[in-house]
Amino acid sequence: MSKLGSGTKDFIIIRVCAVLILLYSIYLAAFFISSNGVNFKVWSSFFQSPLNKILTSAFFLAFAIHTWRGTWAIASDYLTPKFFGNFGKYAYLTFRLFVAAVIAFVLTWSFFIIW
Amino acid sequence: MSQVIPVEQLKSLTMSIYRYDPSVDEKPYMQDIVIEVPTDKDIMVLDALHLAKDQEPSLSYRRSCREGVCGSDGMNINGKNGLACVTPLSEVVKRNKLTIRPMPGLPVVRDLIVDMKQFFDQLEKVKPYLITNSDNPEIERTQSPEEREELDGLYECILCGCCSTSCPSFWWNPDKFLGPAALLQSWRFIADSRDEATEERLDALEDSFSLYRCHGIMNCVSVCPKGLNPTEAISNIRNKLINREK
Repeated sequence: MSKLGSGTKDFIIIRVCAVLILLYSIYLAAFFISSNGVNFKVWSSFFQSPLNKILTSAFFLAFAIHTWRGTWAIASDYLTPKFFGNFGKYAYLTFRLFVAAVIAFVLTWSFFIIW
Repeated sequence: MSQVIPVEQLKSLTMSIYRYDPSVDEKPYMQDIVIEVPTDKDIMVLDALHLAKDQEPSLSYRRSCREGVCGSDGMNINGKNGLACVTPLSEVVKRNKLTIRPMPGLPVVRDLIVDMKQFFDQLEKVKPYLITNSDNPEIERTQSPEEREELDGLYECILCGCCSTSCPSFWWNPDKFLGPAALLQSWRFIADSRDEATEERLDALEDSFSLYRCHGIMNCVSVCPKGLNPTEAISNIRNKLINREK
């Protein structure tokens, strides 16, 4: 059994998510290039396909995880007492809550649009 | 510089040097000192500092071997960390000006002298010595030439601190992120065929900060006066962490 600590797990998860985001971006770009002009009909029929619904949901999930872990790294570098004194803890918490709210909103919104 | 150099073979160089004596100064300031440097040869930054010190005897900096071995005179030279004793003026002087600051990220003791406690605390954490559990052999622990070659590019580190103090991840988390110098030493012992504590060493690096705070910025590689590659060492440890099976 692999012995993975939190750092290694995070590293793998962030990179797997990044690869998923990249693959979906390529897939979407290929759709745009291969379609002879994208209008509402073409766009909505693209999202009628269950496969595309699953892939798009996977993209948003990967995006959410990647954003959550990535912004944690930024916040734990800069939003600290070293920069902001006593306010550092609150700056960190405020930022994390803001990111969590944005991610929750985007995920929920995408779920309603796709499904 | 002991010999007398004719005036026509000298040119002026303005050195802007970080000055701070906490017992006297309220806050740090930059002091301009104009020195006369010889035109017929390329002197080192350390020689230039000696010339500046002739004018300002209170100017303080560390130096010892003056040949890139002891690692005492690491400093920030025109924006880039390096050893003053092995950095020729021709490499760094721009528009006839040379700006010298202490290595960034560490507390300043005085002028160009920094308190390197945080740096050495992090080095201590990686246990930079051979750990063995088996019985001692009769004569010595041997290595094949190939096993010994694995340590090339690792054992040469002189612990000057140029790499760690040029690393933003170390600036922001000097107590949690070990920094490139300590991680290079960590890999130096993980890669050593005689060391028997690989698992223990890797276990200590599993958290989110000790090693994984490295974002591959590669300032460490850019500034290392010995031409070493801590980023590669960190990458090797990371691969070992990901691939290890238990």
